[in-house]
Order: sequence, then structure tokens, then C-alpha cells
Amino acid sequence: MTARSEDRNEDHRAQLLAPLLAMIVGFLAKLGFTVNSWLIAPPSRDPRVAQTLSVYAVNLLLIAAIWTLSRRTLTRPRVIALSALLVMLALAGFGGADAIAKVLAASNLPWSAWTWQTKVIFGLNLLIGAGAVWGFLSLRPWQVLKRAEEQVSPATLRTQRLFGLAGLVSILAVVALAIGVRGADGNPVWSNNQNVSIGFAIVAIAVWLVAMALSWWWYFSADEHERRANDVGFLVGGGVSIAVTPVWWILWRAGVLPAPDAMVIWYLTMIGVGIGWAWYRNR
Amino acid sequence: MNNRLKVLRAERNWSQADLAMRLDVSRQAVNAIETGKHDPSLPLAFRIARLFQMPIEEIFHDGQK
Repeated sequence: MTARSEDRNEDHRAQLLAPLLAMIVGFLAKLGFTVNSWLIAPPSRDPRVAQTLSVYAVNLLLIAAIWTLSRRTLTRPRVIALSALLVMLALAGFGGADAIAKVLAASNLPWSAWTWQTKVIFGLNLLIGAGAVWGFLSLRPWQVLKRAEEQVSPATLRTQRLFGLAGLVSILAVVALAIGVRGADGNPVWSNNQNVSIGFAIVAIAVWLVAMALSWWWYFSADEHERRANDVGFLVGGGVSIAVTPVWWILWRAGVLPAPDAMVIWYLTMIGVGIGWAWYRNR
Repeated sequence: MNNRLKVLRAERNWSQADLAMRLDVSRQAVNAIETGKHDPSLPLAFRIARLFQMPIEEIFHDGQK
């Protein structure tokens, strides 16, 4: 790497540090307040617990992905992926605040009647959304994309494009679902376990299969170091799934937790995959 | 596994990205091999040996006599 590109990456990391800290602090504080409220009034077997956990898992997944990408060398595919992740996190943050406001508006509660904990969690959602917008503006993707790209081998270029394409398909699908499709309770359909139509299910499965096929194409096109990182990621993710599933199931039977939620376990597994992959690739 | 990849690369005044281009792998792969965090497969080790026109055992050694 040239000294100039190293300087460029140092600048980029420094610019993203403050917004990233805002997002992380916002997320941790929100998690802390929520756990605290559950300890005061245990919501055992309440379906909203699984829904809240899945939303928090998505937040964590997005923040972890943004953190990992922000520590890497700046390339065009990574700038595109980072920008998309920041937009998704902004939608998640502002969407969380919007959901709280809608629930309270439906119960005709004025702002002054909200509990202080609700006000804090509402504000922390806004902080996460604002942090993501701040990060997007600090990243300045429109400037970065104009700069000369570091030379990469043909195989690396192919894998970067496939990785970007698989990510783009997944991100577009999630954003389309988040914006365009709402369930009966007004929440995005991917955030909880409400019923969906068979037509919606077919489209969602088709998009998922396309993303899976692209990810396999990427795997078999990647160099051996990238494939090994992917193998390590799936080893960690498999370990998470094998550990969490029976523990949650037995704690549900003991009456401690609500029924196991497949999507929460999937999010945790994917977080494990991402951590294992990033660790091997960047250590 | 130890190797002389970094020295051989420096002798030719190549960057990690230059070597990655010649081997058709990512720069991260070259970095991981140079620092001993990733042992290359036999096919890649042969590609490296051919590139530097040296026997594999003059580039890679396992530390045993």
C-alpha cells in the first residue's frame, strides 16, 4: 500500500470514529435501559421480548459490520457497502423512534405522560439514526468513489464485485421490505413474527435464494485466504447456533425465556460468522 | 511456517499489491502469508516458487533442521 493510500485510510478511520462511538453508545445505552426495565417487570413469555431482541440483533449486526468495514482499506465496494449499511442503520434508528411514537400516539398519550425511560429509549433511537447519518456524511462516498482505485488482481476484482452484488441484493430486499411492506400492527414485516401472504413469502424466498447463489459463486471464485476466512466464520457461527439453540430451548421449557425464535438465532449465528470471518481476514 | 516472501518481494521493489497481482490473490492474502498467519496451499506455494524462480524449500521452511 502506498503512503498516500495509508494516509487516506487513517483520515477515513478518524472521521468515522466519532459517529461510530455515538452509534455504539446509543445502542449499549438502549440495551441497558431495556434490560433494566425487564428486570423491574420481567416480561416472561411475552412475544414482544423476541421481537425487541430481533430488532436489537439487527442493530448489533449493522453496527458490527460498519465497525469492521470502517477499519479496512478503503476500496470502492467497501465504500458502497459501508454507505448502504449506514443508510440501513439510520432507517433502523429513526424507524425505532417512529415505532415508539406510533404506539404511544395510538394510546393517546401526550409527550408529558411518557415515562422517562421511554423518552430516553426514544432519544437513543434518534441518536443511533443521527450517528448513522453523521457517519454517512463523514464518509463522503460521493468523493471517495471519484478517487483512483488500488490495483487488485483479476480474481480479487471478481470476488469484490460478486460480494458487492450479493450484498446489494440483500440490502435492497431489506430496504424494500422496511419501507414498502407493513404488517397489520404497522411494523416492518421482517422485524417480528406476524403473518405474511404466500405471494410475499415466495418473493422473499426467491430473493434470498439469489443472494445465496451469489454468495456461493463468490466463495468458489475467492482466493484460498478468503475461503479460509469464510470457513472460520462458519465454524464460529455454527458454534454459536449449536450453543444457543438448546440453551434457549431448555430455558424456555424452564419458564425463564419466551419460545425460541428462529430469526433471533439466525441473526446471532450470522454475527458469529461475521466476527470469525473478520478476525481471520484482518488479524 | 516461516518464509522469505517479504525479503524476496523487497529485493524486487514490489508492494504487497504488486505481488498479489502477480499471484492473482488479494493483498490481504499476501500479507497473511508474509506474517505467517496463513500457510499457502501447495498449488499457491508452487506459483510463488515459479514467480521467484526458486525451489519451494528456499522460500518456505518449517523451522526444523
